[in-house]
Amino acid sequence: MSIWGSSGPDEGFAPFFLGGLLLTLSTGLIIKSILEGKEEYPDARGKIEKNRRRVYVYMTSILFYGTFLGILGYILTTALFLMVIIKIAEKQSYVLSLLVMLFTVIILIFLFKIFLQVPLPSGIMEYFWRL
Amino acid sequence: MELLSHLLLGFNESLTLINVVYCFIGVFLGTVIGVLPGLGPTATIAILLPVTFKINITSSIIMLAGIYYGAQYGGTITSVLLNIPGEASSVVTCIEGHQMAKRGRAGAALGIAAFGSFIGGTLGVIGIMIFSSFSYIALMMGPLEYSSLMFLGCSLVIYFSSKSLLKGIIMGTFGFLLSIVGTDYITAIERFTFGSQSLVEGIHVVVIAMGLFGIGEVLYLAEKEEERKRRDLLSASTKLFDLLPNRKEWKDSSLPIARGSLLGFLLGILPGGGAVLSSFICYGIEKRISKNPEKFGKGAIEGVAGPETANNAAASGAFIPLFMLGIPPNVVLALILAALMIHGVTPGPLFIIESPDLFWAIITSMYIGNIMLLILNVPLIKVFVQILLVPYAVLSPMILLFCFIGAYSINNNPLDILIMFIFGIFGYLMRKFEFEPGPLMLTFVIGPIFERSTRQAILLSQANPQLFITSPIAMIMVAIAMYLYISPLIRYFIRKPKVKYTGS
Repeated sequence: MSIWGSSGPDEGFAPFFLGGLLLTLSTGLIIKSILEGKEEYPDARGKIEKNRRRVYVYMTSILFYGTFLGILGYILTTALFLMVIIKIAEKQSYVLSLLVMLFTVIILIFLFKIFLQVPLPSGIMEYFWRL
Repeated sequence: MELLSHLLLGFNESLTLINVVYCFIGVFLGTVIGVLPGLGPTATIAILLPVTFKINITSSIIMLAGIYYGAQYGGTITSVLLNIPGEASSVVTCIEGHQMAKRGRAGAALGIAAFGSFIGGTLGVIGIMIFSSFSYIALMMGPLEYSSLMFLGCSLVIYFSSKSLLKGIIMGTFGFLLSIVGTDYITAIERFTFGSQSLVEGIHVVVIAMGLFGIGEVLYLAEKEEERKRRDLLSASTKLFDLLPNRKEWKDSSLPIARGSLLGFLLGILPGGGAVLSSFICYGIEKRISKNPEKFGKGAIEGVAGPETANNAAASGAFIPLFMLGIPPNVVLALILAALMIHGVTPGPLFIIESPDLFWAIITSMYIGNIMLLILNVPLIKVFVQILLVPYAVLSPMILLFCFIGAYSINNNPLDILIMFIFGIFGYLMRKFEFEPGPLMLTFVIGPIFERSTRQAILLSQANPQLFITSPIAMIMVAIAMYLYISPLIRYFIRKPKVKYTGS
């Protein structure tokens, strides 16, 4: 990317300028934090370890959803995602997890697939979509 | 008197049963798609465009316009209740609206947004009638004037930062950098796309907003057991009589609504400005002039009333350049322009003279549509607030699913979910380390317009160093911006030893 051309700034000017500014400001913030030397973020220093596992389960589930949506299809991915979140992360009963999963999948299919006709990925479930 | 006869002509046309029905379909669809993140008015109008071939022109434009301004209403609901912006113009509502919901004032936030939207939308329509002959102002805004306006807009980063000024500016700079991703408008060179086709058009504002606000909030609360319990208890204790704004909230909101109407309308006229920009600028101004700026970020009703009014007034104001000059100020109105042209009508200076019945029917239908939206939305507030009664353990995966489908439906690409996830983690870390998302969103929205117009202005002037003193409009805006940049910094350094900066 060129930063400056014959008659003015090129496409590289803004990234170069903003990158430099961000670097300077971030360095300033680090220096400020060191100079002040106080514990500003109590919950960022591992004091809430107890629930950290739940955050990781959430993160893994979201990553799974984004990665497998195209392969497994909307219904299967959503069902698995809901089961993992409600049963494992939120530690709810199997009955509640199943009920929420079924209810949500049916509502979402009706709302997005049938009513709004959003083209949701079918994945390996393509055969059932056609039915 | 002439105006009255035009209004009568318009109402005569717009109050026919068929047009009232199409107006209702438009505003209802607009509200629904406004609620659903990712599925915006652009996609809906694009889908419905072929349908309009079979409907008469007045009814089809009334319906399409209804979708456009109806979406501004609907976008607020999820912003307030779930911290997920349904529309880009409702991103700023998340900041104060969701905080109000956490305090048990979700009904008041939705109520004031509905009334503010109604007032803003209606005043905007009156503005169209009065100022339609001043549409040439939009033509006076060249790249240089736009650049100065955006420079002025960037100064609001300072007023979006309530905790730390330095962190606010860092976030603002980062937001600007993110806005660069995609194809450069002038040289058509791809920047930071890493060869991905999904990034060629840049990162969608809704993907970033849903990641930072929606997913970031869910991840943060996954860790905070006490805050979850407090939220569930508060929701269970919310009483029905708390569902509308009280007298004090009305009083606090009256001036922001007035300012939002005026500012939103004026910014709506400018191409590229519109609803998103006006809501951000209105929020910044409300915070700047507030007597209690420390209330902002904790659920200040002014921060909901002003921006929500502004985005609806802007949606109305945006019709001026479309009808008077034939210039669509945004993509949605470009589609409405396409619908008009399909029916053989070309908007422009002669539009009112050649098609007065059509013009005034559309304008008067907006009055009817705004009344419909108010009637539709206010009673529904009680229904919407029931969402908060769902325990957070069940609600949180629903919020995530809503975000997923919103991100996916933008490009029908799962990669958008992964991009949103990255911003979700970023939003979670921002919450933990006390960085605010407001400045980032502001510069992300105005960044592309700022960069493009500045480069165009410099190129047109052949890098003339005296560029900014060649236009009086640009000079005034740069002067105001400089004052806004410098004055809080001076105050910050003077007050620093005594009081922590609060953004005032």
